[in-house]
Amino acid sequence: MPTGKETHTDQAKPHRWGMVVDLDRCTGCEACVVACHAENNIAVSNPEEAARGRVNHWLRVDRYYEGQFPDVKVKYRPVLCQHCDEAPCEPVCPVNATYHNPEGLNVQVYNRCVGTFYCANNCPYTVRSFNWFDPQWPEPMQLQHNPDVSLRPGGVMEKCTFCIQRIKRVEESADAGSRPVADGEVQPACVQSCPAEAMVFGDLNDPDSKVSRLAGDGRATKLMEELGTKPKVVYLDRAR
Amino acid sequence: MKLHFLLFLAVTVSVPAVRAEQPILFPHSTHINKVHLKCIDCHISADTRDAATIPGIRKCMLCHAKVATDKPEIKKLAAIAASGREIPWQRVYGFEKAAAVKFRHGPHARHKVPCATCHGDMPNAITAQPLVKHNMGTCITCHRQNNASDDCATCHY
Amino acid sequence: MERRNFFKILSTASAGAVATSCGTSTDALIPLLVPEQDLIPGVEYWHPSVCTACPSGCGVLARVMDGERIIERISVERSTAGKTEKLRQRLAAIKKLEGNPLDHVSGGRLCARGQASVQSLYNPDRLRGPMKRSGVRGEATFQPISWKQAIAEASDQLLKIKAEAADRIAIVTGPGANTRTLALRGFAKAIGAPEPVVCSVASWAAERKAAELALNWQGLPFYDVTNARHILSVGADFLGGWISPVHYARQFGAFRQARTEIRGYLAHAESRLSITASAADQWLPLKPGSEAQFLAAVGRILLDLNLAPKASSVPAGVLAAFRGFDLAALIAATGIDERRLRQAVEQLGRSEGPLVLAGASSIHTNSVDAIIASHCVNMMLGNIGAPGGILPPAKAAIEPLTNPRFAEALSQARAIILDEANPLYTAPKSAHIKEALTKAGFVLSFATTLDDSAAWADLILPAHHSLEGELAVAPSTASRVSLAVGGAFVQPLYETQAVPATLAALAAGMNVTFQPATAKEIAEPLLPKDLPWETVVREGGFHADPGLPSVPAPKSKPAAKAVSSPATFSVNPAKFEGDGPFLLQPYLSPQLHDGSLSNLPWLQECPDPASSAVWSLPVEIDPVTAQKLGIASGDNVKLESATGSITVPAYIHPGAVPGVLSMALGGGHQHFGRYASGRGANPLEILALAHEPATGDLATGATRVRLTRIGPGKDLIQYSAEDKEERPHAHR
Repeated sequence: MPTGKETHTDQAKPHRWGMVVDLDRCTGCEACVVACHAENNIAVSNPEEAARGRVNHWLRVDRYYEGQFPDVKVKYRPVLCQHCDEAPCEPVCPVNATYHNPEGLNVQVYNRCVGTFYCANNCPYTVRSFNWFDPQWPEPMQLQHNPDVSLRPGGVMEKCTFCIQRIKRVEESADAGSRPVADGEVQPACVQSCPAEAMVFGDLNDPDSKVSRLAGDGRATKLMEELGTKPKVVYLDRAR
Repeated sequence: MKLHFLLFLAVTVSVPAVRAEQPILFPHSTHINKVHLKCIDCHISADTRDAATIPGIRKCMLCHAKVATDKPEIKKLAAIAASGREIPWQRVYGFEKAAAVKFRHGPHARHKVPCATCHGDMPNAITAQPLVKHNMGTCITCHRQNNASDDCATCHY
Repeated sequence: MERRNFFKILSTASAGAVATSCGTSTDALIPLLVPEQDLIPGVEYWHPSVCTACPSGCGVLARVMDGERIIERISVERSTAGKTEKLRQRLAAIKKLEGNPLDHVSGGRLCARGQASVQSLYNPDRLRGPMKRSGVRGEATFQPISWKQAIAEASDQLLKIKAEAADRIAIVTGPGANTRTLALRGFAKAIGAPEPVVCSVASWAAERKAAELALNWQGLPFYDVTNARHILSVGADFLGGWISPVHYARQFGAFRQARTEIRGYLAHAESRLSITASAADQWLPLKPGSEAQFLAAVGRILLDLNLAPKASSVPAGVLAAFRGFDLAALIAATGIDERRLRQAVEQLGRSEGPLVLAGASSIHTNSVDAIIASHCVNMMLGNIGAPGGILPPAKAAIEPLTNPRFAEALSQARAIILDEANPLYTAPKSAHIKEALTKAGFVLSFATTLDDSAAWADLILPAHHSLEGELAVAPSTASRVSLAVGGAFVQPLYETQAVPATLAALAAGMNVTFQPATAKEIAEPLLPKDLPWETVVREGGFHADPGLPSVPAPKSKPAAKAVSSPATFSVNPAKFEGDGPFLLQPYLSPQLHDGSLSNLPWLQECPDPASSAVWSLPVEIDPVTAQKLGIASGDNVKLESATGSITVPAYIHPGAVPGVLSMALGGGHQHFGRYASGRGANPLEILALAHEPATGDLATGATRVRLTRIGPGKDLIQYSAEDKEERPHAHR
């Protein structure tokens, strides 16, 4: 680059973004779900399409019942793209629309996607959603659109980006100020909204970051880790 | 199927660099060479923000309420200002929505990319015209030459 | 061009004809003069405001950036003068709401409803300007009318009715405490009308009344969840649809995992597996309406076990009452296994930081008794005014309205003014709201979107959305004097007007002196001397530090004298109306709240935490009952009370309390925009007209119903149909 200043990413190890979700704090309130919609211009379908399973969520809260009355337990778990280091969705894409970027994000390039659905079929977490139609935004709903996030047309697969637009904004402002990105400075919409502060986001390459420290907690587990996907979302199990 | 594919390339890759018919013959050359304005005097956030911005008609009228009011183009300008509208400038650069590109001027200015690299010789141009062809090739070539990131997610998200 | 439309385009025209954004074709739409001169594309501005999706009063920050919309206007240019032209307008638009980190309610966080409230601002079904009824009342046919004419007609009508019977002008509003409420109250006083009445199933009247009777506190008690160690919550879904979900969820997170070596333990007693029950370490499934008996048993067992260290602070009469209870009968009434109940109480009593948190998420005829009992138990535990206990409410910066008897007020009314209230939806059919709306001489509504009740208005004078104007909100629960304020930072989209301004115009038209108070006027007498108003506006509100001399001290008596007399303490059994074998338990939806947010598609498509239903809300039936009646998830069933019936999809809920049919509110709107109209059913519709006697609040949980299977249905749309995990997540 024709510049005297070195950017943070040039001098240090690149960031490796990851998330920790503390299930002991999570209440299953789904604030994260709507925050994600509001941030990422996710299309709303309609009852007819919803009945055919065509609802788009980048982040969902799984709910499972265990046991029988009166000893019933409900398990809530926010599930988003796990940004796997060995992502099953990546090698199957015939047009390389989904790949791993240097910061560890599993990226979906919308304009490469031709909608083969292979990635979604191969995702064990079923976190990918498909735009079956061009999204409808009756006037003046477009005023709410986040200009930092592309509007995806019909025929395109999409999924959680860890709010890459927020990562970019923070990295850029850090670059402009010639300083490193501070821990906790990047907050995806779900993390920022979570009332119980169950979600934490940060750099897994920084051993002192909050997310790295929590990922080493005794309660830490990863979802379907046995598949060898190496997810970058860590769950802290409910304490008992 | 082959025919389709070829046509498809023709449509998406080449953004037509047709001359834009601008509503007013705004001479960039006069403003830069004679009035000695800098690019960022009007495109105020070209060096810091995402968008360079096009000045509103009020900015034009700051000077042209009194300067050169007898010229036909300035009369056109005054008429638009009086109607309570903005000048319907034609955009000459930009990305289609489907391209899903997030271009930001700020980092390019910060890394000292000259305006002319992407916008051509505006100091000697009259109206805004697509002097430089913008496509992914132009971007990637420059990024690679200057050791900037060529990760897809740098621009597409 | 979009490659996915490629074949489509090939079939209609040659590819070259497709205009791109870089093309030369002249735009059909001409940009209008941009009023926001400083609006730079891509630059975000953050403005403080307040969320009004519920009355909690969460301070928010709105992210404002440039946006573009298409408007129509009459041309002023000479060549096209008088013709309608379509214009593209650039304007400041709210892109997102986040919690305001400086605010003590939200603390920088926000719930699903708050996140979605931008969609009520940009809702396509908002009313564009004043409307006048053109058909028969209730037919919902309207025609546009000018503000000037609308105000003239409305003030004319009101003036006429005021002259004949000013006391029969009913002003009906929601449970909030904000600049709008204050203006309504002032207007009512100015024209000699009775004080506005509250129309809501979430006004927390029982919680207020119990605090007043037991502790002599005015307002909602503040539970210090963060510093407690063991909480027994009873009847209050405090993480879901209770008083201040964001505030309590924040506290809950800290209660669980913010302290080293201490993890808060939550036991929850409620007649529904709510999200609080799911988050709890232990759920005690109560029989509906047995909260009072349960809490009486808790107090009694604590006393028996000598685990009530501050029993002496409880008036002797009350203690005697606790000691005199027939424990076996109380336990039997709750439906909980005795051993389990005793264990739960002992755990509570042996904790170093026990706290009992009680409320009425489902309102019963004895809800006030239950909450008073909880205050007595807290007294025994030494929790009143103590850290990790229950703290007195601060003096409310704006007093909320508390009279919930809207059905009564409406039945008498000659003129009806509706603001943020939808009585036709909120009241059961047996309250005869439709008849009252038909009979009234004049019905005026300030609705922003045509809703069930506004459909019966003669005139609709649409209000600004709360994000479009200046407002101040007193949070529903606060231990210090607080006010959240928002400025006007985006221009109103349509020909609407702030309610205080509309009321002032109406008053002027009626020749009555009335000047609504501004946020500044409300706040200034409460502000510490060194806190200028400008700072309050910049920070989005204020939260007084304790001990500041200029802040009025909370009006509360010392804890020792708390219970005014033993006479206020009794534990009555809940009464149920009708003769069906099941109890109907409508509850506040974590998404759609009391139905006032049903028109927001984000919330319609946010899965219901219990059933995972989207775009529909089912009735939750326990598996045993379902099997007996041959009902499967997705079947349509009929719920029939003595006053009516509704048809709804069934969801077989593995955690439903046998014999209790729970159903979230939100469906069954006749009119409420494209996303809610005609969707689902409203369980409130078939409730019996039973009331909580101490407050006059509608007892939402007091109706018996019959349940019959109709047949297979298509209305239950589940985002995730699986109830059990296919391969339970293995712990490391």
